[in-house]
Amino acid sequence: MLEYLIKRIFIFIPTLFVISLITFSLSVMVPGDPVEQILNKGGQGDFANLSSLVAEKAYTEKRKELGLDLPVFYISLSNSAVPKDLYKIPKKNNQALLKEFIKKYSNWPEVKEYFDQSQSYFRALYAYNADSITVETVIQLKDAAFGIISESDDKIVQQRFKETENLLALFPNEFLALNQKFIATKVAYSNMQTNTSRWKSLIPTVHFYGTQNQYHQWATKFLKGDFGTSYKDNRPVSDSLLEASGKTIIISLISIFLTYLIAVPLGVFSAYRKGTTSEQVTTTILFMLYSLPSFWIATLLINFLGGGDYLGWFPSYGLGDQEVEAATGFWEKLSIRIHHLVLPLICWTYGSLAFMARQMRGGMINVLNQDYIRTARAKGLEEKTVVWKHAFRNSLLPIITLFASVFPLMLSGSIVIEMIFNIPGMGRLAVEAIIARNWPILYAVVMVSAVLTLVGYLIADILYAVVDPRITYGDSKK
Amino acid sequence: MFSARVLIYICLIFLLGACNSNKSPQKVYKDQVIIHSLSDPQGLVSLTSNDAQASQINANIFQSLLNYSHDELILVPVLAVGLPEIVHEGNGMKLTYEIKPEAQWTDGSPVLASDILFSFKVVFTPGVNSMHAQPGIDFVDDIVLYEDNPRKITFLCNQVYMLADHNTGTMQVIPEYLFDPEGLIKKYSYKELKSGGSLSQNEDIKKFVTFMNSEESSRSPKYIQGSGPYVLQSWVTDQRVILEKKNDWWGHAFEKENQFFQAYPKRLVYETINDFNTALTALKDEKLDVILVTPVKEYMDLDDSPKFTENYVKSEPPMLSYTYIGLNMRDQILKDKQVREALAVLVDVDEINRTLLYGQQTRIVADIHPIFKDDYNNDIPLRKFDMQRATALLEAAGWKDSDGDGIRDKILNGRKTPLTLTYNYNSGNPIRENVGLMLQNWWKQAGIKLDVVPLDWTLYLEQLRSNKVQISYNSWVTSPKPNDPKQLWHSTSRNGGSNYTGFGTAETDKLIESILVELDPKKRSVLYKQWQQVLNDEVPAIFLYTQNFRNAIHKRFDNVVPTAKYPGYWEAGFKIKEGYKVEE
Repeated sequence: MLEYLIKRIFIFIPTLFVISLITFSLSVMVPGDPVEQILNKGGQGDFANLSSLVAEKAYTEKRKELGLDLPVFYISLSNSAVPKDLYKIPKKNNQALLKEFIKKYSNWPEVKEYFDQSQSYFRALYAYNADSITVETVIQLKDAAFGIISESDDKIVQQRFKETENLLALFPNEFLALNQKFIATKVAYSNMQTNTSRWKSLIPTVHFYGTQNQYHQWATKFLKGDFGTSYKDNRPVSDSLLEASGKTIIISLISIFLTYLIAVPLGVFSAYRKGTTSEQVTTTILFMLYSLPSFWIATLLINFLGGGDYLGWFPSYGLGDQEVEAATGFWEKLSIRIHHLVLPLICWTYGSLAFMARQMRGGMINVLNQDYIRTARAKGLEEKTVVWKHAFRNSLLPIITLFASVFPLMLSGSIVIEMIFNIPGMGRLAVEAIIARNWPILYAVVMVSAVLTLVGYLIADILYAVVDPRITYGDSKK
Repeated sequence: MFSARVLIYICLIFLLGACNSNKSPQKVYKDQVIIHSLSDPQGLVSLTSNDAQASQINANIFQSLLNYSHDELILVPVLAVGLPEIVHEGNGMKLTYEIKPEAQWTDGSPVLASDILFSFKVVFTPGVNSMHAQPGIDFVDDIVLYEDNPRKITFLCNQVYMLADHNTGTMQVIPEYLFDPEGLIKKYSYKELKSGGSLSQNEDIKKFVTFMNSEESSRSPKYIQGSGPYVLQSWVTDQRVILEKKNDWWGHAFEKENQFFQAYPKRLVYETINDFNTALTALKDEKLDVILVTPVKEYMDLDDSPKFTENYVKSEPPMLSYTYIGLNMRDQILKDKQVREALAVLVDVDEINRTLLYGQQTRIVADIHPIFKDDYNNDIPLRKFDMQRATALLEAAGWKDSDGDGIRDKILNGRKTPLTLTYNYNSGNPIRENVGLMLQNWWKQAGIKLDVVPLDWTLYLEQLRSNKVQISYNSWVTSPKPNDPKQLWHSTSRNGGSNYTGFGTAETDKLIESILVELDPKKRSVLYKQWQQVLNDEVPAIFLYTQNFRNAIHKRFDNVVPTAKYPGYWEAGFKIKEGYKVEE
């Protein structure tokens, strides 16, 4: 048994590793630049009025602070045309543009040369002091230049080149220096197009970056318990997580307890009384419960029982923290909590309850048809003993399997309910993090859920052995 | 049976819990205002966090030299004795303020000019998360303090700017003694910090930046206290922020001067509820006192609820905002003014307002709010839906249905191009989606095919910034400041900025610039009218409407002054009406 457990725990490690990899790579692939997101505070600020130099400096510093100036992973798998240090280029959209060019022309030095030249022309243009005669032309030049530095489509780039050429020709003397930079850009572009080495893109290459990479930094910190700080409010992620998970776990545990408490006897009852009217009614009700979506039930409960226009039996939201603080005695506090928990717990529980009861019923019916049950009855044992002692234990197996899946479900299933009842738990935290692209929080939530899922399976495995003596782990009893 | 007994017990416990609610004949209210908020603020120091939620809360904690009066929306003195003395010098200007001698921080120490200088320095300290505040005060070149008068401060600006007094006056001031007790940035001048340079590597600066960007400085009650009437009492993440009134606040002596010195409720509670349905149920249950209801239908439906009408009143002051459909002028189809004009007369704004927004909105001709009567151009008529004119315009622009497929086409750059356009909106926004579908329907009748495509918010923003969206739906919330068209309509704001329509020529840039340097409101009004005419003539956007706030406020409050400033009321000024019982 112990040996098996150790083996299982060892399997956890690669599983967790793969999960972390998937989450991590998702964050890299999702559109949007986290650095800009933070600096821009959700798009409310605007840097058009700031000199681009200040904005660029702020960008570089923030990028470094977040560790986003490092390569993503230990290795990168690509073709030999892609350079090893592409990650050093700031701004996600610039990297994407360069990748496009590499894909097309497979000649990094020329691509880089064009990129540098076009950037240098762009900067010179933005620094250019236009007078009243050239001002309109400069505005149009800037538009064309923006098209040049952000496009990889040859047709559009050529068109922008043409526009620029015509515009620069309007004031050849004033734009002398600009024109030189522009010509250098154009030359670099045609060099890039002619000196292609497409064969390079056919040769796969692996680049190694060592431990100085984003994933390693994050993973080592994560293992040390440092989950980073939230993008939203700069709080340590572990604080937010602790606050949120406490609430979710307590509610989940109560809910799991209630589920088993009600579902098991209900299942046994409906299996034992199979075919009777009362059993049919119970089964129908369970079936209906199972098919009702919890967000709908939650909304109905709040609207009808939560003190809106109908009955005010229960509070409409939250866990009553303020009231609990104001209350004095233990019983008063407890009753306030229970009062607040009734509606969320109903929503949390009824779905899994119905499901579990159905499973229990199925398992029990199976067992009740077994020969040894008939034997037990033939021996003249009391019906109670037959059901609870002989049949019950053997019918528990499917329920235990389910335990493993109930555990993580509780966490994810809570998302909707937490949003509706305004309980600041893990589900709400996750949803807010997803909407706000708050990666540090999201990583942590995913990892914690993953660990819980694995633990759930482990517990289920142990329970199997406890319930069914026929199941042993390892080969000690050969 | 065991399980049956347990079941009964559980039911009993639940029932006991259910009986917990007690209703007394005359309700006794707590001396507090509970205000709904959709999400937590990022932090409570305006210099490092600028979300709407934060600005509502911290307006009760920190003050500024000046602020906009709630009714007239003009600048009135708060920390300052009066409006600044403005002197023109060469190409620039000098603004001198004097602080009220009575003004105090929480610990009783006076608010001094050095605190104001400190706050301005924080904005430019390299590394501090305050970039959002930089553009507004970038024109301030240097700041002068006076040895003989520690309450006097002068801002030196190298340019004339119409918002100089607005932007220097309305920036919130934070206490130096709390935020920089060690004097980490004291030895650096405003100018040094503003020029940045290699200061970010300096150990003292690094230490200060770490502190200013930390959780502690932006949310701990130890630091969230200023010269305003309230201090932060507690903040439970994602649940509530509670502010408590100071015992003897210095500002009470100025109660008669203006609303910013009125502070009556003992506590202000900002309750975070993400789900509107839940929040509205809580409202009917009197768990909330004030709510801003964004979904229009839910707001209209409230009138049907007896519990609501019994306890609440609606308040709908105009909101400083405007909404428009942006047309990308850099697009090869939309760069033709005739096409844009045709699209503009193919939008029945009144119909949108009626069907989607319950007729709640006020139409506008351009980016100026009608509340600013002197600036708003009444001579421009509102466009009417006109299919005939649209058809004529499109024909004149060369768009004809040559192949009879119902969609107009034209030879562009040597290729036959159908008149197909794309409307993007951020996914999950039903109003924007429905507007798109309505456009699609109208435009189809005129031979224009419109694709309505939702984009994820980040992607939508990115596409807008790089001028890749053909047709977009935009809403802007503005402030009582004179309208600064630069951010949205100046040519320097496109190619990465917020000028999503790509509007702007040297001429229009010049007009914007002349508005920005005009200090005389009367002359500025003339320019504003010209500006609206330009926007109307060039049609870079189809201006739709401006919204009203949709607030619900508990009936027990008196002295509720509706205002066009966000969020439409000043909670600290709420008094209790006679006939309502309040806990002592």
